[in-house]
Amino acid sequence: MKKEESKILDKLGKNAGFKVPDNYFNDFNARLMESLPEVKITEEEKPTMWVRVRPFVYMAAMFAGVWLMMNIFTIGSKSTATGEQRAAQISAGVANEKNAEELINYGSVSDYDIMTYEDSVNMEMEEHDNAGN
Amino acid sequence: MAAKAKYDEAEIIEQLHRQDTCRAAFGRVIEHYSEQLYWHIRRMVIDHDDANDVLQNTFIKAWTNIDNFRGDAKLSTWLYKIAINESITFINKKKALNNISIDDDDSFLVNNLEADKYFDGDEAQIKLQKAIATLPDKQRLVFNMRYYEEMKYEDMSEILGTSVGALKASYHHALKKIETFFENND
Repeated sequence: MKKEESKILDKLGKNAGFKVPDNYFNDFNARLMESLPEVKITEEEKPTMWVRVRPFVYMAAMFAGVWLMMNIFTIGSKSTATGEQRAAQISAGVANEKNAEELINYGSVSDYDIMTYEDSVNMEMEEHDNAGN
Repeated sequence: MAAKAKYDEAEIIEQLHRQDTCRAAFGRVIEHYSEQLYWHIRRMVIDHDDANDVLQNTFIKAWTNIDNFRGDAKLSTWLYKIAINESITFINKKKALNNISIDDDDSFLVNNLEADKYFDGDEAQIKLQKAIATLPDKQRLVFNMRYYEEMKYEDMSEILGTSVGALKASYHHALKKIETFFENND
């Protein structure tokens, strides 16, 4: 701040030469308090529990509504798909390499199934032999 | 004598918004701010009796509008704004009463300073007051707030609604004008 000021002001100092009557501020404060008119204060009401949780409830309801609508449209689209549309969906799925592999795997027979089948054939043959004897 | 309770502005603002505590809280506000606002007003209107009237109007206006003060700004900023408005309104009314154009400077306020019983300054201090009175109202405010009150430019910016850069420029211009006044009135 010093660098902003001038030589003239440096010489004069910050006392402007003004003064007030003795005990002025105490008297002023007391007089003013007596002269203040009545005022009406609008007190802020504390928010109720419902007011506080309302935004969250509204948001939850909105998400639930969106979820419900998505489900309704999904079901609707399934039931209204024509045979051609379904065929197109299947062919699109088959074109995908991953889906195709899944389909192949789905169609193949597991070792367990093979063993079970061989065992049952062997068992049948044994039963037949035993019956022949 | 009982010790004064600590002034906690947040607590005072809360009490100001309750019907049962607002009057006492406002008493604390008056106690806390009356002196600094008085000196701010006195440097603007110069005369003690005028400063007393403007200070009283400032607090009464603040009190009657206390319900509109929501605590978004500092209480001091709000009170200073009211005090500045009241001071400028008072000076303009006084100009009108004395048939002085509203565009003229406020030199007329300093004319009877020598005769003021609540002024004990010397010739140089009277000359400084005359120099300050030649400044436009806003420049006079900026000069007084910075030079006498040593207020931060950031706080002044909030009160006057002017950028810090513009306030610094305004203060610099005020200093130059005061120096020129002293050079021309040697």
